[in-house]
Amino acid sequence: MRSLPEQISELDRVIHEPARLAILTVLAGCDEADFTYLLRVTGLTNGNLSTHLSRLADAKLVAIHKQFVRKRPQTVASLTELGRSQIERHWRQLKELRKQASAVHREKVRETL
Amino acid sequence: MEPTPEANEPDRERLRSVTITYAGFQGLGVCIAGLLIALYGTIYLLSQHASRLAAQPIWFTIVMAGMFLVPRLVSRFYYRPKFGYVKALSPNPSWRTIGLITSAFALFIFLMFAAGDYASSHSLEFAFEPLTFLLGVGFLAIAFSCLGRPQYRPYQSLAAGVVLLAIAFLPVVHLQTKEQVFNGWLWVAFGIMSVISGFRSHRFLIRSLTPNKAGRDHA
Repeated sequence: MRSLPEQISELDRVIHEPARLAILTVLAGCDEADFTYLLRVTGLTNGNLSTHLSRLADAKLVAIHKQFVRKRPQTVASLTELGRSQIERHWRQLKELRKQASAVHREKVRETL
Repeated sequence: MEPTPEANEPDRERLRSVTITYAGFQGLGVCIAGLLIALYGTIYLLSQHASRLAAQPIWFTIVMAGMFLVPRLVSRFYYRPKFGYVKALSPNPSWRTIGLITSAFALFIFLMFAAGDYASSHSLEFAFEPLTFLLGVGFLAIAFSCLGRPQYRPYQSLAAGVVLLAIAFLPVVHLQTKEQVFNGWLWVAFGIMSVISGFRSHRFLIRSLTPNKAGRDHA
């Protein structure tokens, strides 16, 4: 069985950044969402969201589609197949880590008692 | 100091449930449609020429069209400009699930026809309103099937089932006729239920989605 630090080092840094993890989690709950909704639900600023979306698109985890709706720009983002499998894997890894960390914590408490 | 969103690990369940609710059930439209449905039932109950109103297909058509149109219009002109656009996750059911749902629906239709035939051939007269009774039983069945599953809350279905059963038995105690229950109270009850569930969903979305003026330049 791998140690906790080993497992932590295996986490994907692109996904594990909290803002990007929030964006990917939202997109995992739908087929696609636009920029305004992602702003509202994550609470990020316009610039931050734009930067993080570009980073995720560069990693091929998110597909971005731009269009005009009633003369206003609309940016729609959706998860790629790779993104969908990676985010599920990432949440599984985090759950496993949490389980192990709490087991270690319980062990330490028992030792001190 | 207020922590920035970047400083915390996102709450997975909150983000997922807000997104799924926003994509599938935008409550304000359902709330307004519920008022329309309740109004239809109330007018029937209050009108002296109630049977004429119920017989007018135009009113029935308007209410039915409103039930479908109002949520779409509210979604397009209120939610989308204010909170953005989300497309619901496409369901990808297995053939087994499709088969089970189709079989259950076919069985339900068959039983309805069989029960109707049996009742008419034996000149059966129920003291209660049968459709309202069946719907009440259906809601109770949904509520009880949710017990023991923490992700589903059965209270709303439970309350709806109890209310519908109570309404179905109004003719038994001679408080209302079966026609008044079927054409009036059933609509009022469904309308009020829609208003309550729509309002709760709307409040949940309003509280969960932060106001952000930065997004106003986007469609």
